[in-house]
Amino acid sequence: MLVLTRQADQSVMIGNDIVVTVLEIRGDQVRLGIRAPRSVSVHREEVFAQLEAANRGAALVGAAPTVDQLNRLRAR
Amino acid sequence: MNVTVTGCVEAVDGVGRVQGIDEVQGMNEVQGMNELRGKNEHDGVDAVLDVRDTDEEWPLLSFPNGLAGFPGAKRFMLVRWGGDDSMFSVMRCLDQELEFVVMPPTEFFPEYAPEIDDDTVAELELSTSDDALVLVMVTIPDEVEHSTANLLGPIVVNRHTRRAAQAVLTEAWSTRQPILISG
Repeated sequence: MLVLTRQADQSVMIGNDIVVTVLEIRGDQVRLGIRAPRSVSVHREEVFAQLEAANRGAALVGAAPTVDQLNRLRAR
Repeated sequence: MNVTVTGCVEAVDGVGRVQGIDEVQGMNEVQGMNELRGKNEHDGVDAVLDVRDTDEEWPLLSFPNGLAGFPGAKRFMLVRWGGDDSMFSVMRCLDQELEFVVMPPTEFFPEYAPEIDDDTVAELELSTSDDALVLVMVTIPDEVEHSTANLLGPIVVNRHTRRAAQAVLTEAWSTRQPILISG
């Protein structure tokens, strides 16, 4: 892992078009500003990991639910 | 500008148009599954795969960025699942072997009003909330009563272009929200 030391208002460039700026350092929190093309999605890592896990869990393994199962879901 | 999507109860039908779900359920429709798979002896994945020859008749969703955990999954076909009046659909990937059950959130979560972030709005070129179709992924285990829906990462589709993305909400919605069944 590349490690860089930056101060508030200083930035790091990733490639040609992604800029990560340290906006504010307060206590144990750092506020970052990220400028990136729209094609690059930016997520908090733990949220992305949660979403990955949810998608893997939701992917069908084997047969899709039967009509009977779906009907039970709808029987309310 | 954020777009808040409320009560978005519409579905994409099988003939390349977008209609209100009532319409779709009521009349014409999603021709399909039953005829194509020969009067439902199967309700499984094989049956879905049988419709391959008619791919063009099904709404095709394009996810330019793929899905979290499945970055290569960019094209999905939306097939109504569970009979003509079902609110469930199977989202079947054309790039790899991958399928999800999805549904409009409204029936089970009428209070759910996801606020879609600016980047997703811009990427999907949504002008108003009416442009957006919102679906949520459903996980249905063998014990159906333990089914859950992913409300944190809804699927947002531009109805007109079929461009789609999985949004990540900033509100604290669950990825495994139980679908409560009474009775």
